[in-house]
Amino acid sequence: MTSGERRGLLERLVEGANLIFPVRRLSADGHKAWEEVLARGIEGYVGKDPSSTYLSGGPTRSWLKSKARREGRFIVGGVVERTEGWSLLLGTIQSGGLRYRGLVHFGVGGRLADALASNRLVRPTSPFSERVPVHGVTWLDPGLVAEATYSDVTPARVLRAPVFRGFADKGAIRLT
Amino acid sequence: VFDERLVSRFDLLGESGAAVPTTRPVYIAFDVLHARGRDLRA
Repeated sequence: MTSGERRGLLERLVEGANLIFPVRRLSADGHKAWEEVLARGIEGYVGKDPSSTYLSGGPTRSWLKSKARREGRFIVGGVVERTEGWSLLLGTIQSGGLRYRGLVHFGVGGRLADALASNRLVRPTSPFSERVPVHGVTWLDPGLVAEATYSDVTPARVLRAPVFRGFADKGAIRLT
Repeated sequence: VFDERLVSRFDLLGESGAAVPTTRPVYIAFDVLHARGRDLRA
């Protein structure tokens, strides 16, 4: 049975059920569907070839998953070197304090981290309002705003899969 | 559960009295692979 036929059967099976619904269908036009994903803040979509049959495991071009990336500005509260390399500690202002929003590693180079660790913003204590579960951090005064993309936010309000894109003030940090 | 934009919010599941208005919990079916003893994957 093809994917399209199974979809039709699924809709008939759950029709009239109170607590079970078929997964939402977006426009059959991929571009229009993507516009709807972005407009509604949906995580992404899976495009399925309705003529394909079920394939267990392994990659396939009959089902294509596309995830939206979100972007935002975050205050840098520290820099730390871990096994995967250098990372920035990001936060946002909430209720008058700096709330921890996670570590960003991708996009952070060693030269940038060195520049931050020797920056005038270095301070001896954490600027975050809560305890941060990271050791060996060089803490920074909250004077730098980073731009980052991310896939989602976890239930603990921490960024999922963030990527550092640069500083909002392009001249904030000079690399030597 | 779904929020006011009808976006699914797994993180709000079980948060009674949450600040964000949500639907009641519902199941979402993605596919049907077996029905009435028949394997539909082939």
